Amino acid sequence: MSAVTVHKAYVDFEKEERWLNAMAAEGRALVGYRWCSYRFEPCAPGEWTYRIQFLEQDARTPKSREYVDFVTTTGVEAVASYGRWVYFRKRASEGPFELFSDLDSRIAHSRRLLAFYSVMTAALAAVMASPVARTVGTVETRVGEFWGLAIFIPYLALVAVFLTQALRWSRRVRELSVRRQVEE
Amino acid sequence: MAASPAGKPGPLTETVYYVLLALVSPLHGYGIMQRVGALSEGRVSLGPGTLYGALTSLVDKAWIEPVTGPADERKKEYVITEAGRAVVAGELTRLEELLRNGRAIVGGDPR
Repeated sequence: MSAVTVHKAYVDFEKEERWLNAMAAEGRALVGYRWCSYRFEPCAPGEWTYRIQFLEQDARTPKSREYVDFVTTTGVEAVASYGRWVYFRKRASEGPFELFSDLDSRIAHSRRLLAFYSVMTAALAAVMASPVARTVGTVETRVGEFWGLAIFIPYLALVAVFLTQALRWSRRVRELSVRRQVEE
Repeated sequence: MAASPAGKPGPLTETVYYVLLALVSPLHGYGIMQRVGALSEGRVSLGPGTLYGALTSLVDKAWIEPVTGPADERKKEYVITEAGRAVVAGELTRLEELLRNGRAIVGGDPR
């Protein structure tokens, strides 16, 4: 089995993480990621556990680098980063791998995702309501309703994807906060 | 961490409590994780993300401080401060009260 590149798009990072761990269980270890492009190399089945994190800032900023460097001194490898996302892995033989071990830090991570998807949803919705969109709309009226819809519907779908994520992380924050009232 | 009206720290989280205990001697991040694992007989396994956040806030509070030495930034070591020791001492008094009352009321019998 040689190295392979798989093209795939995920919105839900937890599903993505499950997929990466399922791939590792089958003997394919993620070694690199670029936009929607995953690079795998052969590994012993189940050799690695993968975790994905959404950082406070872009992975290339000094603050993020300092954090990622810290994590890599704890027996963890950073295999890829993209924007504010970073992909970590640890040898399964060294025990379970979780980035967060208490509710407070899981709440903070979920809040960060909620803020990101809320801003994205609001920004996309704002563009839709802006003068730019209205100008485009005028052009669309001239090219006909078919092309107007051909642009509008995928755009609306994109807004819906971000909104779904915002609602999902809002629910997660609420669930974790309720638990936090009685436990750590 | 909520401070009580008197300005004294409120109850410590388990993460903070164990990090402070681990740092009675200087350790870097991974060393703290191993020490806490050993102290709790494997029950507490600190995640690196959680530990990083705890170290940052504890340095801010001056309950721990970086050890000055050979400047390998990645393997920075920390140690507890006098302020940190005072916080642990205060927490011990609180934990003793919790234990005393718990034992007196349910007699150490979980039922």
